[in-house]
Amino acid sequence: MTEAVPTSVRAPGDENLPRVRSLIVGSRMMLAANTTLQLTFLFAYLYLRANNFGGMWRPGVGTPAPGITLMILLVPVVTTLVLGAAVGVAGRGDRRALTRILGPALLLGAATIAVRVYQLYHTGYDLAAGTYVDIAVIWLAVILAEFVLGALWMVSIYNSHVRQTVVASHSHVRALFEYWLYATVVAVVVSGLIQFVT
Amino acid sequence: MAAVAVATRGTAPPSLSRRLHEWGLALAVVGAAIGFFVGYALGSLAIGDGDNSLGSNAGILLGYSLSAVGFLAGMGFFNYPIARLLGRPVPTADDEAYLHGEGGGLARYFRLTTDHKVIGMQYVVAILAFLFVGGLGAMFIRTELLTPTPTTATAESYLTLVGLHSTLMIFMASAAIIGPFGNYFVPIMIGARNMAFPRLEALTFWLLPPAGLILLSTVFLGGFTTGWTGYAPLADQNVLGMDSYLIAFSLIGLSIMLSGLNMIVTVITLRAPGMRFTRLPIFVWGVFLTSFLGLLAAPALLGAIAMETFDRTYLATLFVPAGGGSPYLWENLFWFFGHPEVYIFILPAFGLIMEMLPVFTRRPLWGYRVAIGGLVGVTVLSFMVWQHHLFVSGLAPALRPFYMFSTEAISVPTGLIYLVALGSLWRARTRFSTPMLFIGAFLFNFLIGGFTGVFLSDVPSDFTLHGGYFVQAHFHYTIMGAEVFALMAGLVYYLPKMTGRTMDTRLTRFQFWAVFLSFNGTFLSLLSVGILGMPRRVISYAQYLQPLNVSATVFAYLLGGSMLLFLGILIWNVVIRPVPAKENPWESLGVEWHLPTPTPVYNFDTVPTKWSLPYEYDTGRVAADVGHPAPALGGATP
Amino acid sequence: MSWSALTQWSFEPVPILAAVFAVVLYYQGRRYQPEHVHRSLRWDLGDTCFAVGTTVLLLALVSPIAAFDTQLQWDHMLQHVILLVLAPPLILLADPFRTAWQGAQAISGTHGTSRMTPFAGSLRWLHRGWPPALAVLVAFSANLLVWHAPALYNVTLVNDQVHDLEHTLFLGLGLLFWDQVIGPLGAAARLQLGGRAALLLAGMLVSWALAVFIGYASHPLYAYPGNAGGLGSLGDQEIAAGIMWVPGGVPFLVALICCGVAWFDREERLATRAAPGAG
Repeated sequence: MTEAVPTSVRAPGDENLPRVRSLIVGSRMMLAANTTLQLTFLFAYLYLRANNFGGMWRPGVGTPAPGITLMILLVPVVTTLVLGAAVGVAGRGDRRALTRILGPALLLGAATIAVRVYQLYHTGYDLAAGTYVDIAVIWLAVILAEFVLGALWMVSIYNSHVRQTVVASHSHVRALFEYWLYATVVAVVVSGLIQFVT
Repeated sequence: MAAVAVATRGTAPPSLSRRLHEWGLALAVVGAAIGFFVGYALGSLAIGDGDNSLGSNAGILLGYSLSAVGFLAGMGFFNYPIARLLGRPVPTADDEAYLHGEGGGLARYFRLTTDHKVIGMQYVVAILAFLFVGGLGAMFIRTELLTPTPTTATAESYLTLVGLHSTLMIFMASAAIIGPFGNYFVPIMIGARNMAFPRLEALTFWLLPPAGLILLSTVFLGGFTTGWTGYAPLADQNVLGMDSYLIAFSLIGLSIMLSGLNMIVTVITLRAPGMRFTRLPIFVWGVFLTSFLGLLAAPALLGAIAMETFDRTYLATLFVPAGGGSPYLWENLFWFFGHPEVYIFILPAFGLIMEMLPVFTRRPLWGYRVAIGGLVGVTVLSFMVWQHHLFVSGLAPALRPFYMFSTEAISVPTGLIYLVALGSLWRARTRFSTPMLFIGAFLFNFLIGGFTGVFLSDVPSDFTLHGGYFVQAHFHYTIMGAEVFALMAGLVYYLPKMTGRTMDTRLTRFQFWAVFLSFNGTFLSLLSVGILGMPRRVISYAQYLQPLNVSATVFAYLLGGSMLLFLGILIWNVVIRPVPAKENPWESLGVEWHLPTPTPVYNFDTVPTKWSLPYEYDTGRVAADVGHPAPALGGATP
Repeated sequence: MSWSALTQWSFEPVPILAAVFAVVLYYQGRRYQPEHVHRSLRWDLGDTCFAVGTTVLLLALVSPIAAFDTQLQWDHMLQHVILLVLAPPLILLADPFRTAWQGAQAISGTHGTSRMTPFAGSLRWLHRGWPPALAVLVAFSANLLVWHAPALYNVTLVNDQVHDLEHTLFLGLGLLFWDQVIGPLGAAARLQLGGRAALLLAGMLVSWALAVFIGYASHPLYAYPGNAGGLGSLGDQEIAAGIMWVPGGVPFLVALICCGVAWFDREERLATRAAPGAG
């Protein structure tokens, strides 16, 4: 264990940086894991709602204003659409065009987080007012965390691309897009559930 | 052996990042301390609101969370992500080589190192440490149970002891095989020079020390009385020590999930050309399929723990009946993770046993496809059976038969795996080398563990046996009797490869008989005590059960002694008075045995492209030609 | 419930006539099988599957299973499991539509003139890979979920036409779904093995999710009359959920196993071709 390790040829690709295919497969596997996480909250939500123990599921709780809800849903959708366009641009190999499109995507990503933080702090109901509120708040918090991770990923791709340290490839941008698409679909479905299946 | 070119090193002075890595462990400790205090202050302030207990809960939870973050930051895990975030240049080749441990030396084992072989060795130490501390807990438990009435412990402290023992052992068991042997050998067995995400793999290891320490700190916070299952509403009501359990378990859950992710991606994307799935060693199949369990089941645990922390900090009532919540919800979420978790324990052990069997029977593995079918069957069905933990806990009576059926059905693929092992042994001229003794014990112990599981899967018998020592003996037979024996088999078998040293044969064989007999003495006594009605997690019991409890305790002391003996032999022969091992002492045809020892940093100079299964003992063909001369077959049994 | 329940057959004319018609067409199609169809003229596994599939389908629609479907939820669930996941794959294993077309041509005296039914030809778009497969998956899942919404489900308990529509949609979408899985491997643009496994997994998960929802409900969701032969409405509902969950999952699992075995065989062939001496 302490003796010298036999030397061996260091080949290209031996660096500890993940290969593109590993990144794509890994990203999709994480989405699969994320699915179980969402199903966990879905199960809790529907179980508590179906049973309404002690009538404490939703005693006299209001719902958020539709205007706010719409914006909360639209912003990540628009972000995802812009990222989808970025995938096409990345596929053409136009580095400058990619920079031009990733910038707005980044701003939209920040806006996504902002509106979701706003949502979390302006749900309009008190945490002591039923398990509907409890499960809704923690579920929305988890989804917010996912958007934060997605935004950080976007920042890293953008900064590396702009500074030309790691030029964003089609695969990178596509993996990012898939992640945002997943998170957005989850956010829309969950928001719909919390809004309409009460 | 092919001529190698030493990787050239630059003459530039070490970068700041590299210097920080050298001091990783010290910085990690500092980071943990800072993180804890910052987290505690923030948590208490955020939730304080004049309610001390809630604020303390939030403080402890956030403190532990940020201490883990601080620990990892000190180790250097955030260096690369932050560099990417800021768009800074990728690490230099020299820095990456340093991270990969090219320089050798003992220091690699105490910092962030991305060489999967180093990580495997780190896991060996961690697993043995968890086993040791958890084992100490077992000794205290058995000592307390010498008498039917409490002697030294109170009920609460006893339950904390039980919880600590069980949770530490669960932490150990979840990585006992994949951690050391999966990390070390899976990349080699598939012809890869590295793992898909090397930093991530290092992270899965370095999550263990903070998890263990945070869990142990529960004794300073009043302990926790729920056992490892963390059932609500007791979890909601518990004192601060419960927070230790929650954070520690979530760190382990994260480690399981990330390790699963890495193994899956490595096997899918980094197999050598020619290494198709039908050529994968059965051990790699075991690890690969287990990784799906870890990846998909651990998030359920993380979600449940998130909900529980919410209950304990924000006065949410997700699991509290008075507030509209349900303890049964926790049970379902926990066991949705908990049942796949027990297959996370045993599937890699199956894979390891089946990998070693052909070496000692000197024949191809019997039923390679059947074994894979069995492993796949167990993997898929393990998500369909969690309700058998709830037969007496609130599951609707009308649903019970369906889960009885699915639970019994899972014994079919398990039986197929067992059949493969027996078929491999049938009429074989088996070499009863030391690892083979442990393999035989595995098969014996798992048979008992498996049979007792069938009784528990049947609703009528489960009604009687649930919550008692029969259940306890069942899972000790399967986890300790099978998995830990597989661990010992693997260590005896693979230590010559991992360290170039070997454990003394006579002493180890003596230790084997000691551990096998004492293990069965202990847990057959507990099976009996369970049939006679003794419940689990109790500090006092009926007088008539004392003789069997005394028997169990005496055998448990012997068991503890024999485990210590194993540890002692290992340390003595590997560290203190190293005994050099022969190259390929078992005359295995596996590719890992045909590389130099110690294995080169990047495993292969030239990755082989022609692969066969490593079980061709009829022809003597090595799994892949790596250019390293193999010793002649047919030597004496070590 | 007593043993006399077993004598209560509904003998609905539509399913019986349809089954007879299908069997006749199939039989004729097999009898006058064109030469370009490489299938043994003797009774084969496909014929067995067709026979079993048609039989269970008929049982679901005319036997006492059908007689009690508006009184016992577990019985109704058994019927749905047959319509959705048992009968369709069995029938499809017999390549029924091409065979029936051959039979229709044989009966009309035009056999050998056209290899493809106009109907099948117009549905070729269904076999163009993922977009239509995804559409079928969504339709199959949505259909399952929508019909289990209490409002609509309760209508089927009292309105025969709506009930028949429900069964027709279950069978039709069931056939479409399983057609994505049971097509010939290697057929142009059909889903590969991985895609079929993913489709099966997704379909199975949706039905599991629904079963969990129904099984864990604390009160009866649907307006079944009576006390379900002593079981109670809730007990009846829980058994129904169990049937959807465990037996209803078996066809998916069997199909997944078949995909796994086929994939393994293919890997083995590729490995042997790449390195003939190895392994």
